Amino acid sequence: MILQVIINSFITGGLYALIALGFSLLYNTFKFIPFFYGAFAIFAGYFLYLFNSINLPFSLGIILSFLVLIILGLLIDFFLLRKFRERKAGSVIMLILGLALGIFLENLLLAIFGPNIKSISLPFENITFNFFNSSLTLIQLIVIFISLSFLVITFFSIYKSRYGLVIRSLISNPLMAEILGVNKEDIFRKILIFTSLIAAIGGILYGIEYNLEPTAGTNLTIKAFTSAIIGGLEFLPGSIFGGFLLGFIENISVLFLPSAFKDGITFIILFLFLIFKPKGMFGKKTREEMSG
Amino acid sequence: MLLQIKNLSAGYGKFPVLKGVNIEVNRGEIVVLIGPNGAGKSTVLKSIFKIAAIYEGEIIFKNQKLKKISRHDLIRLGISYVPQGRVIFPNLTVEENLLMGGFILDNELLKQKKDRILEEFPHLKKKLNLIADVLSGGEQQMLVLARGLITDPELLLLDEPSLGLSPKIQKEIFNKILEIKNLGISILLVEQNAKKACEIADRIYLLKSGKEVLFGGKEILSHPLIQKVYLGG
Repeated sequence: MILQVIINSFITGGLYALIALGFSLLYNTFKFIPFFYGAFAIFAGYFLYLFNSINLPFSLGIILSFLVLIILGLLIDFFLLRKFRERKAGSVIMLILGLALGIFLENLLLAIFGPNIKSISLPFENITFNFFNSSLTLIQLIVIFISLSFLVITFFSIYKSRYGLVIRSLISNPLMAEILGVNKEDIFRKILIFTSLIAAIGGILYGIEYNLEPTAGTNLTIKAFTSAIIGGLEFLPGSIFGGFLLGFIENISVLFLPSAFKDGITFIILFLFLIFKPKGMFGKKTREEMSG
Repeated sequence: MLLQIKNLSAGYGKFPVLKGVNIEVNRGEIVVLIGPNGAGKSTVLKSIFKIAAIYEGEIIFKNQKLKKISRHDLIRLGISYVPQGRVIFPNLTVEENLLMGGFILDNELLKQKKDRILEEFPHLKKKLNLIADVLSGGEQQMLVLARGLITDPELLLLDEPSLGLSPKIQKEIFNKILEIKNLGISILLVEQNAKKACEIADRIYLLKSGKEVLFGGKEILSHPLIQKVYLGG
């Protein structure tokens, strides 16, 4: 039983961590809470469903879904986010923008694909591995492998590469980074491409593992937000840890509570952290904050 | 002439701070801007880096008007800006802060420049792996100076480098500024500590209510206006 919980935790935790990483990266660089990110990610799953339904090869469908989501991300930035950045919109306006965009994207999915649940059909047989009274499907193994690999690659890119250093400096102090020669808009574009790719991978993996419905994005956003809060919204690896911890808590909670209460657990954790540890488990206070 | 600021009016939003300021910096000299709080000293530097809005006038660097140059390209022209308040990247290590200073350099050159700057700031060498936030105020000021110099700028804009530091550290900072000058780098220095700044200045501008009201060499230190208002004479 415990082994099955651990396996399930890695599946959900890996997905949450992936989405939370993109969410956290967007939040820290664009300086607003991207409440649209879950709905945006789910779009990729729907695109793959669409490309599947017109009989495109599965791998081509995945590549096209990546591309379409990146283009969608760039369009959202060009026509919306950039305009608000240029006008130096306040945090409340940006918060409403993020929420409104999320609702708009969900409505768009509803209008195009309808309210019914959609399944992404796989081009291979989803065999099940049984061991020690636990089971793991091939696709679940792929979900764990891809999410973990991508998280490791992203972590090393951000902490061990020069490009990652630029991102961290931009997160720390965008104006100073610009003074030192960083073209902020150019880096923003690259981050948007990268976070769109993370969203696409997360959305597709989610669609394959859990099926698709237009409102799934809101749920995914809440999970990503909670994961990021657990680890510390301003500390990127913290969101990865938070994702796995949330996945673990959710899965272990079903041993003691009705499974329908799984999402309720997320909110309880979110509230507890916001009240008692708003900087998360790894969020550090700066010298200024410590001195009051 | 390296930098020429002509009839500059600038400010924030609709609030003008500078009202027709003229300043010149020649190669190899330290030019000091002094004046009371709110005179617009820091706004001069912020105008060069487009942090303050320019309403009128021109800023010319090496015969090139800066109006259409983006903020992030100014360092590529040879202007380095060390803002007020020891603006480090607090979560990055000392080494990473230095590396960001050389963002515009390629990897090979950056490594050379970093090694060279550490010869000039040996104290930082022992602290490379520390998170910059844990450094003392004086060390942070040395770090931002080192970071500002790593690209070998032709002009260094320094805003209140001694602010909030002990007299001993202030002395070190002013000595370091003289060393920087001896490297052939021109410096436009904004400083509250007018007496100390004027000691190392080649030329001095006195700003008051957004206008330069007095300028000249060290001889203006004896001007009644400076004596009266700033040096307590």
